[in-house]
Amino acid sequence: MPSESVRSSTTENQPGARSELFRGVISLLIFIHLFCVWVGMSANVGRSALQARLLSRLRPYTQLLNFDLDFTPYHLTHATMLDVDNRIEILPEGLDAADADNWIVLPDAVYPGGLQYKRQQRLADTLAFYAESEDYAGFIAQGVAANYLQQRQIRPAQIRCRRHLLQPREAPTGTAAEQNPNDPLYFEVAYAANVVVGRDGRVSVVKIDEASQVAQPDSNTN
Amino acid sequence: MNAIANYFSDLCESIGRGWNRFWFTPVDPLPLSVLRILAGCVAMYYLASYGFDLQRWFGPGGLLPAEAVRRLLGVSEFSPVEEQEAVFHFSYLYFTDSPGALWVMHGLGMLVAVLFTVGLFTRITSVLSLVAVLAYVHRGPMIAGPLEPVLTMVLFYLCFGPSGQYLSIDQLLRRWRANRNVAQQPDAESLPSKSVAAGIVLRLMQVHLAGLYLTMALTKLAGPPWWDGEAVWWLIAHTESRLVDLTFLHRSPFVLDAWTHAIVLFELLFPLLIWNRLARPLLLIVAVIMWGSLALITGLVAFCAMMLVANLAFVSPETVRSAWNSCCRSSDEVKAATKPTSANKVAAG
Repeated sequence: MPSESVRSSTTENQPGARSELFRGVISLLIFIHLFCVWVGMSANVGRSALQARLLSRLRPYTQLLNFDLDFTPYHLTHATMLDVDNRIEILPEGLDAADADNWIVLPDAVYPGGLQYKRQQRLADTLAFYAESEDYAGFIAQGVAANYLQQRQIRPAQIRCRRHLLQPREAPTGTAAEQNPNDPLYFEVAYAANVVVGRDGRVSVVKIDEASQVAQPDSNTN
Repeated sequence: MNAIANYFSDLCESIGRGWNRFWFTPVDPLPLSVLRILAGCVAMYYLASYGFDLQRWFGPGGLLPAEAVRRLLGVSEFSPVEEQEAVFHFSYLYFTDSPGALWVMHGLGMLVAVLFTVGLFTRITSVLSLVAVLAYVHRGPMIAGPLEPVLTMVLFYLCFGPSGQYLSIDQLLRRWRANRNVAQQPDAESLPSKSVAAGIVLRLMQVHLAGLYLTMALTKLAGPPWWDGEAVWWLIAHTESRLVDLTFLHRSPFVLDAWTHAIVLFELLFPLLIWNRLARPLLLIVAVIMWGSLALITGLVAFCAMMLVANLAFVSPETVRSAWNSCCRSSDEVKAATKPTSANKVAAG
């Protein structure tokens, strides 16, 4: 068994680890970095007042380098209303809202495993999340409506965000409607707004508060 | 009193020795080079996937206008003062929404990621690749998902290590320069040189990843479905996200429960057992199965692939080196076997 002195002298001779000072400085930096990372990770779901204060102090480092997870959904699901699939739907002007085929759906019909699809899905999730806040939901809805008007030359009349609710485990043995995951039973309007296009081409949205004002789907929608 | 003092002195010394051994042992940088290529491929895919939608997201009349993002982050001049707080979402993509400028910036970002992956000017392109990826993360934080923190974490650490030492154009250039200079010994390059920086970077990745696994497990345990075994069913029930329809499993509640608990158990055990030399290969194999299955039921393909890439930080440098050597040997054997010998040439003639 090697003695203490032999072992330490071997370590001293290793390339790179030249001095105790070098190790000390690097160790300190590693410790500070890992502490910041730990604060950013540990405050992902719920955060105490201390964690919130620490995070706000460390934000210049953790947020800039994306170490602050900031409610990243690593739980994948908690089976709440925040964990369902959402979609943004746009009704072009002059078309019948009752016909489900008239609504343009975002995410586009692309490969669901791709990042392109996931980003569009997350935009819909964000709109559903802020559905209760007229301002925040309005910013997103306005952006989407303006996008269809300016980039796709589709003049939107209405925009809505629908939650695609999840089938419970016993659903496949239930009624015909319950068995179909795309049945209207599994859809719920989270946000709806009328789109107003001004003479100067500026788009604004007016939230529809009452559910009765929102066009409900009357057939299966995909 | 002396005994207590001695105890604490020994304790400190032992911790110090352990700390130094853990962080400052030089290792072969080959795993970093492998990680550079794989993380570079994911970064290229990440950036390229924006290419389809670049104008649609960030162009004039885009889905995410800069002002809308600022307002959502609470940093717009129009945001109420009480909602304003310092945020650090810096991105060069905020500077313009002109299509031409966006394409130039996107093209440069892609170029940097390609150069990083092939290992040209790796020290510089590693930093620039991180900047490019972070620019997209910060331009649309609300459309970022679980992939981004893992990708940026790996890219960040690769900035500090000699990831361009092997499997890179930098290595070829070094060899070429060494061959040109007769005074240098060309064979010196082929010997694996150990590096303290590579050891620190690999250790940082390992500790960070272990922490991320723990966070994932604890985040899951904050919700009832991961306790009562229903979580996997709820993932399978996402008709718009999943890649395969496994709803027939509703007939096998035992499988769904076991699958749910296995995911949590794995994520809880990973940060504890991964440090054990014997448990490590087993955990890494289980990780392939777990992330593969999660990719199918959640549709988070890029995230699951990135987790597998990050897991490579736990494969020992010796294993990577021996795998690489055996690859080289077999390719040399194939070359030797296919090389026409003089006897063959005569026979063919």
